[in-house]
Amino acid sequence: MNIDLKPEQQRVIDLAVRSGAYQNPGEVLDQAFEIIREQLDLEGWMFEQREAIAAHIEKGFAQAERGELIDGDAAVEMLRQRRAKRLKPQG
Amino acid sequence: MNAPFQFTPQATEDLDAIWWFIAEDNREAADRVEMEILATCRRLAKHPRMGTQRKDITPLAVRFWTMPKFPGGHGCFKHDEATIGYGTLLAMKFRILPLTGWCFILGSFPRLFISGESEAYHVGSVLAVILGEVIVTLTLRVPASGAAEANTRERKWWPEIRNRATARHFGLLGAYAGYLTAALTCIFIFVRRDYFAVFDAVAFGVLGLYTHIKMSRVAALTALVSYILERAVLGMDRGLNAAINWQVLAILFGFMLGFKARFPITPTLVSPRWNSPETGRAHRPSPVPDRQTLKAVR
Repeated sequence: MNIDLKPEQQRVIDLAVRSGAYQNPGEVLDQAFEIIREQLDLEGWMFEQREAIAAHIEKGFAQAERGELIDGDAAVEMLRQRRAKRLKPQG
Repeated sequence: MNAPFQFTPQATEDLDAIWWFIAEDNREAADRVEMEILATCRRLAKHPRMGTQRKDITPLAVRFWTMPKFPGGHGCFKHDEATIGYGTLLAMKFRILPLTGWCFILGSFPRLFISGESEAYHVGSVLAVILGEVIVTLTLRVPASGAAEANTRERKWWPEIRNRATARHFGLLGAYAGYLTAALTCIFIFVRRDYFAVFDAVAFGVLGLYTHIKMSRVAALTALVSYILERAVLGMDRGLNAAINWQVLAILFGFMLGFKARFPITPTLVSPRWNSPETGRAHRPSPVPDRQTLKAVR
């Protein structure tokens, strides 16, 4: 099977080899395939739960569309303060 | 400092639920998982084309990314409309570009035959619109660049777009430029009795509305390119003085700010599969993760 790489894909491979982290383009592709394989490992679970996941996403998507968004760091800070309050009586 | 990503309330509660679920057994592990999720969010914001669309799971324009360290810990994120989601991008293109493109063409073409201006001006206008559409279509392939961090110095005239709020604020100037252009064009309809200019006015009005309400970068870019090409054609026909003046520069600056504000925003929605123990355990739509799968974390 022959695949023609897009120029930007070729640039990424060249950059990776030039960085010294990979010996040759084959090693770069091995790493990329390993990441894809990791992603594919849990496909079965995703497919089994697809209805529940879709409902969950729909709710969050609608919130994002309405602009109900909180800065990531601010959200985490708020959660940590809330947890600290809740855990305080327990010591 | 602002994060380069944002959470929905749903995602925030999910994040909290994950923490509580793990913290029942091990608080340090819960902290580690949370740090890993946040690191993944930063990574996704930096590389917005990571992940895959799963139309077999949801028709919405979101991308999925799995966190391999935590089996079952899938995340899902979305980008602003017309930013990266291919489905959304197509929908926006079909909604806006033909409408405004046809407005410009309908406005210019009949004037070839009935107005006193030179044919070169009107032919140039039509070609400019077509060229503008091509430029916009090609440029939309460029992914969003990611919102800048807040550690840059505040610049009054050319501000940094740090988050959705600053994008909305400064993008309004692009929308106002569209409204102003539409209003001025309406005046010319009556002053010059150029009734076909109503199409130009409608086109810029629509672009202004989309830039304003939808925060559309397609509309912001279309307005900027259309305006520049329109003035360039006018300048070639009637000279530099007719094409550029202070009012034109002000409008152009508005369009440029609108474009700048709409381009870099990539709000990220992280939507893992757990619900809040405080709000959703009784009617949890998503399954609880298998405790065995979390052992590796602890």
